[in-house]
Amino acid sequence: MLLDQARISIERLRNRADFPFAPLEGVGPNLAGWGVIETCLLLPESISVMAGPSACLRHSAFMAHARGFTDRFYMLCVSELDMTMGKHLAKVEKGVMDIASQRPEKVVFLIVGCPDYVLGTDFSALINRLEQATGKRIILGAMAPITIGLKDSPFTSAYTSFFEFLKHETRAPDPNALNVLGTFMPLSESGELYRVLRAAGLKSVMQIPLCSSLDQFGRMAHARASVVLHPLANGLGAKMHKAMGMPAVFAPTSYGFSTIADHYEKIAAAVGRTLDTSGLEQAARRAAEPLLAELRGKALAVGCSINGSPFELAAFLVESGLDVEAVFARGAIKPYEWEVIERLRGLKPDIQVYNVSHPALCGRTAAFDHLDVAYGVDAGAFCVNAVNVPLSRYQEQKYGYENTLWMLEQTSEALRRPVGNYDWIYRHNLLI
Amino acid sequence: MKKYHKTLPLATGYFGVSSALYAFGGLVVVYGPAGGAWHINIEDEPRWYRGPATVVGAGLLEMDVILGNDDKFIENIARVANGLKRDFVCLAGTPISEIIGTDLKGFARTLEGRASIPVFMVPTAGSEPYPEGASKAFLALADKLMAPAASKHPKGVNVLGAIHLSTGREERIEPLLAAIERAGFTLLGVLSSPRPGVADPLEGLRRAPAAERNAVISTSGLALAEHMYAAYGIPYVLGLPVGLRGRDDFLALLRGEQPGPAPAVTRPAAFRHALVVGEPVLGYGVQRCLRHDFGVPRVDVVSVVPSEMLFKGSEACSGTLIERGPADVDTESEQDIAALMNDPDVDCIVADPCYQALLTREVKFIRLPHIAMSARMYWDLPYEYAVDKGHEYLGAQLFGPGQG
Repeated sequence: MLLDQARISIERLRNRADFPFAPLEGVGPNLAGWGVIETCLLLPESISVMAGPSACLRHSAFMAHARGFTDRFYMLCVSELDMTMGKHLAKVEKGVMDIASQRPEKVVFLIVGCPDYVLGTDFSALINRLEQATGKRIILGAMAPITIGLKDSPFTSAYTSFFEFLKHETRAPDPNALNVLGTFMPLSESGELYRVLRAAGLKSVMQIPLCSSLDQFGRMAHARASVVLHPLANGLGAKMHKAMGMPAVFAPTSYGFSTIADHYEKIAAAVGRTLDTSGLEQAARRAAEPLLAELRGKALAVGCSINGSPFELAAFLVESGLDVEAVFARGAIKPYEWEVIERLRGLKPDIQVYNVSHPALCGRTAAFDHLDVAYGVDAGAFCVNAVNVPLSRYQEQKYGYENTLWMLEQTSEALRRPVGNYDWIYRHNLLI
Repeated sequence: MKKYHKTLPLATGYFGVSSALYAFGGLVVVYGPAGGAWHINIEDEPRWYRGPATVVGAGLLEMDVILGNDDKFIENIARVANGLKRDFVCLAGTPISEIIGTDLKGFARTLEGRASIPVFMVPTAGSEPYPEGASKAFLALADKLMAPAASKHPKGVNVLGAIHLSTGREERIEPLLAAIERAGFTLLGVLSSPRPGVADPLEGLRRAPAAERNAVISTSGLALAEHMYAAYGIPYVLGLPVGLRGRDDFLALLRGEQPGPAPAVTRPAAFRHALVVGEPVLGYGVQRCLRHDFGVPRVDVVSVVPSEMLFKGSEACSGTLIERGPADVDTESEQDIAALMNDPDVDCIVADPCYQALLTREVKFIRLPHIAMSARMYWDLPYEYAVDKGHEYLGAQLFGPGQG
């Protein structure tokens, strides 16, 4: 059966080599990374100029436009021949110069693609000249999927490059300040994490998407610690730790009550304060019960386009007595997810894990016709009859027990008023 | 160097390959890093949704580029194509295969031996206009799978160049296909839009050499039409009939007659100078409709893909609806198009909605999506252009609210 090529039971999924190999890249809204352009433009007072063949630019442009970054995004088309001959550098230099002269922003991300990466084009002299001529910082980045799996992802590299704007700050640690890294949509300042932190005396909580200027962003250099909510921010957190002595704690967006409690403990240790969350957990458990009850007897699937780990959400749902039958994932399983997979293996070893980009999976939806709820637009693309709950990072960013309740409320809402998977992808732009 | 800010670079060569071949039941392998095929499907190829694997990526990585690893990819592609029982494999080049000089031709030859189905390559990169990729794909497909017909089909017609990047959803050209059939012709092949109810998506392609005449409705169909004239002696008519006058002229040309004199316009629109921006064959169809159905005295066409081959003259072309005007231009430059659109003399613009972002003034704007520009964004927009439906749509726009 073709589908067998694309799946493995979680009982047999012991390490990365076990994950079903996709001989070619199938398709679906399953790219769990962040777009490079959208990542770069999280930095305030920045614009992005991408240079490369039209095809590469067109690919990136859609994601930037979908996220509303049109005004701060420019594209310079250069041909393969020019690139191979190195003749594109002068054109790119002039193009960036022209654009920079029309814009007030202080930072220009010059993004190149796989061709320049493969050719090993040296942009250093060009960047020096541009910086001198424009008085702006020019940061080179790569939208180069050819590097996937070998180096930091392009998204991680882009996010990590923000360190350039922190490293020159003279650090004066503020004991009451904390950074939250790895949010695309910002956490609400009236949300749970803020309330918990403020109650513990951490009056200043900073997130990159809430910084309106580079000066404000620079204040992140003075926080006592960083909390990392998404793996892509681990690189930046680690650099700040190494170069500035600022501890970083990885406490990713999660759904399980015990996992969330562990994360709060880790955050408490990092900031050296006691965080009072016991009441929150009890209240959340009580509030969750009727919402979980709506899901009893239903067959569930979890995809990798959700905010957080699909394995972690699946573990929470199974631990709550629910029936998860399928997890849709990509091969890049994060190190922290293997512990969850081991736990899930003990709980429900017959869960099938599908390689969501396997071409054998495309169009083969019949195997999932009986599923009732699909989390993630990638899972929803296969589970035709299921209610689709996207839990996308482009909807809202929640944290802690509040995130679990949001997930369950979203589920309850979707059961009452379902939105089709196609509409989530195309009308709500939840493309990855 | 082309610079884009408010719009998008147009679809390029391998997008055209995908668009041309998508409906034929093959496997199109975009020979580049991960992401290329993904974006084509998610953005430019709305037909992917819940369908079988059709346009897939090779997923090249850095070490593959350094080491070659061709054998691994040949094995992978053969495995997938055989497993999925696809009818053929097409390898489409990308900027990476172009830069590292991948021998896609040799690759295809080796792969064909292992895959047991027809395999061909299309030499694309990432900078050429999409019709170039589509044209090459049609030629490669014809070279592989088209054979001389045992006998000619009198009144048999093929429609060439009906690729979704140019002509949109399949239902957009249905009024044209129906008009052709109502006029007594038999549609043999519509490339690339297999007819409803046909089990073998390649049947139209196989039947095509029996046609008496080809109708080329976009630049992407021109090279194949020339090839079919050289190989099978089939002449072609060039043009996409928009509106009533376009319909009558087009059908006359299909019959081998010259179009009659234009009747007087019964209800002229209030506009004096229109600008049509988009694919040139459709653009000239709209021009004819605005001029002859609605009496707009001046209509200029901006071709966003090269159009010179439409005017070079060919003995294979038995008639054309396309007339180059002195102010017509070829450009995909955002800055040039913005300047033309903001010319105060222009009082009506027909273009993809994406171009509206270039306007700095109020002017009548009629939305005519060009999928090679806006991809999925306006895929579901209600609009028409073909024959009578095109007349109705443009008429409603010209005489509707906000007519300027």
